[in-house]
Amino acid sequence: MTLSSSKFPVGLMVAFAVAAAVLVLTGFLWDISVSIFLCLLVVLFALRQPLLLILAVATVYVHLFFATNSKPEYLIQDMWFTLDREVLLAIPMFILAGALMARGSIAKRLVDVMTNIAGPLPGGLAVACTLACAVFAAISGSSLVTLLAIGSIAYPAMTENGYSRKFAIGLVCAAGTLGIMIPPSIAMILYGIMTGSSITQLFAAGVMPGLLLVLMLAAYSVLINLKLPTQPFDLRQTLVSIRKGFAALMMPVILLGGIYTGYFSPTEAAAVALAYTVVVEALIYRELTLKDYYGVLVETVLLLGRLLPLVAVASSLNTILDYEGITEAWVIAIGNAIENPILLMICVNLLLLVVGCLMEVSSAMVVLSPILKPIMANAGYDPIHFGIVMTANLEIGYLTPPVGLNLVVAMVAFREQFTFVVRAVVPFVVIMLIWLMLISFVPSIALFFG
Amino acid sequence: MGHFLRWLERAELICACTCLALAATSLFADVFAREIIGGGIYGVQKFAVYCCAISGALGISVVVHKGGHLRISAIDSLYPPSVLVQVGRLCDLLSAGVCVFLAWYSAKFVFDTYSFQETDTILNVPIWRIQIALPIAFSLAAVKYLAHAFSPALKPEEGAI
Repeated sequence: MTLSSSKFPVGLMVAFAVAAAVLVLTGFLWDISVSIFLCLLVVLFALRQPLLLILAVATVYVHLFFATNSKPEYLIQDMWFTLDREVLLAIPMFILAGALMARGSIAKRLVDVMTNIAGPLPGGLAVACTLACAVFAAISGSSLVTLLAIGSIAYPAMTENGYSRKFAIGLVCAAGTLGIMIPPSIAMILYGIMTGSSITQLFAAGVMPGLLLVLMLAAYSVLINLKLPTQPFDLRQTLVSIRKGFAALMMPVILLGGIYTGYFSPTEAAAVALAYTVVVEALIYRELTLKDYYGVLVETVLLLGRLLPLVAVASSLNTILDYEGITEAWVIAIGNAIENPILLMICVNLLLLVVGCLMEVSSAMVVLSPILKPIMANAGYDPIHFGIVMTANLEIGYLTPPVGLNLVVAMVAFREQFTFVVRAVVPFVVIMLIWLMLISFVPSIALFFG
Repeated sequence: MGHFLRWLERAELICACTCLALAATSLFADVFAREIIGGGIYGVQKFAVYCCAISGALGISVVVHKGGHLRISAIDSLYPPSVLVQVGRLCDLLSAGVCVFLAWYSAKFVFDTYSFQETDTILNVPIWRIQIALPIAFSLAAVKYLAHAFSPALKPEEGAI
C-alpha cells in the first residue's frame, strides 16, 4: 500500500511534529511535565477536540502534576461552584431575550423608524442600518443576533435601493458587531465573571466606544454613498413609524435605564428584558407562534450548553493557576519583559487580534481575560478600560477569517461567496482598527461614564 | 441507534427547556413581586440558579448531537477530505473517553456531597439532587460520542452558533 498525498492525514502529522518539537525544545528549558502538558494540548487541538474537553484535560493535568495536594475531583468541585453563582443567570436570560427578538418583529420596527429618520442623508439607508444595529445591540447583547435580525431586513433593502452589494454586506457585518460593545453585552458579562470586575461598570464603559463606532460607520456610509439619491424627510411617516415601533424603542430605555439607575441588577435587567420582549411580541406585534417560542428555548439551551460548561471549566483552571501562584508569576515575568505600558498594550492588542481570527469571542474571553487582566492591571491599566479594549479586539475578530463568525453567518444568510464577504469587510476592519487604537490609548473614551 | 439518540435528545431538550423556562419565569416573578407587591419571593434566585445549572449541564449532552461544542476549526483544512471520516471517528472516541473520565469524577463528587448530606440552606434541598445533572450529562455525552464513533452517519453536521 502506498501513501498518496490525498489520503495522508497531514494535520495529524503536523500536530505530532509540532508536539515533538515542543517536547524536545522545552525539555531543555524546564521540567518534562511542562513539555508533556504542551504536547498534550497540541495533540488534542489537532485531534479536533472541543475546547471544553481540551480545557478539562488541561485542568486535570494541572491538578495532577503542578498543583500541591490536589486531585481531579477539584475540577468538578470548581465547576459546580461556578455553575452555582447567581451572576451567571444573566447569560441565559440575555441569550433567551436575544433569540426571541431575532425571530420577532422588533428588528423590523427599529429599521422602519431609523430609515425614516436617516432617509434624507446621503447613504441614509446605510446610516439607518447602523443606527438600527446600535439600538438593537442595546437590547440583545449578541453580535450574531444583531447581524441576523437587522441584516436580514437592511441588506436586501440596501441592495434594492442602489447600494453596492459589497458595501451593504460589509456594513451589515461590521454594524452587527456592535452587539457585543453596546451594553448589555454577553462578552462583557463573561469578562466580569472571569475577572471579578463590575458588570454594571463594564456596561457603562461600553456606551461611548459603541457610539464612537456608530459615528465612524455612519460617517463612512455617508461619504461612500454621496452620489446616491436621498429621500425627502416625511414628518408624518416618521411619526407613524415611531408610534408603531414605540414598544421596541422603549426596550433599551427600560433596560439600560434600569441598570444605570440601580433599579435592577444586570441579571434582573435580563429577566425584565425577556419578559418585556415576550409581552411586546405576544400582545402587541403578535407574529410569533408557540412553535417559535419552543424554537427559541431550544436555541438558548444549545448556546447555554456550549457556553456554561466552558465558563465552569475555565474558572476551575483559573482558580488552580491562581492558587498555585502561576498567574502571579506570569504577571511578574511579562512585566519584567515588557516594561513600557504602551508597547504592552500594542502587543496585547496584536495577540487578541490574532486570537480573534482563530477563536470564537466567548471562548477567547473566558480563557484569556483572567490571564491578561492582571498583567494589564499591573502595567497601570484600569481593568474596566482593559475589558472594553479586549471586547473591541474580539469584536474585530467577528470580521477576520478563518473563524470570523459574522462572515460565516453573512455568507450563509445572504448567499454570498465567503471570499466576497471577506473582501467586503476590509474597509470596515480598517475603520475598526483605527477605532481600536483610539479606545486603547484614550482611556477616557471608555471611562467617560466611570 | 438513531431512533434511540433521537428519543434521548428529545427527552433532554424537554428537561432543559422546562428548567430554562422555569428559571426565566421565576426570576421575572421575583422582580415583579419586589417592584409591584413590595417584597421579593424567598429563594427564587437560588431556584433559578439551580434550574439554569441543570439546563446548562444537560446542554453539554444536547450539543454533542446538535452541531457540536465550540472548537478551534482553523486547522481542519489540513486534513484531506478522504480521511476526515476516520479522523472524526478517532476524535469522537477520544472525546467519549474524556467524557467517561469526567462522568466518573462527577459521580464521585456527587457521592461525596450525598455522603456528607449537604443541603442547600435557602431551599432546604439536598444538593446532590441538583448536582446529579453533571454525571448524567457527561455520561450521555459519552454515549453520543461513542455512537458517532461507531456510526459516523449518525453524526449531524457541525454548526456555528
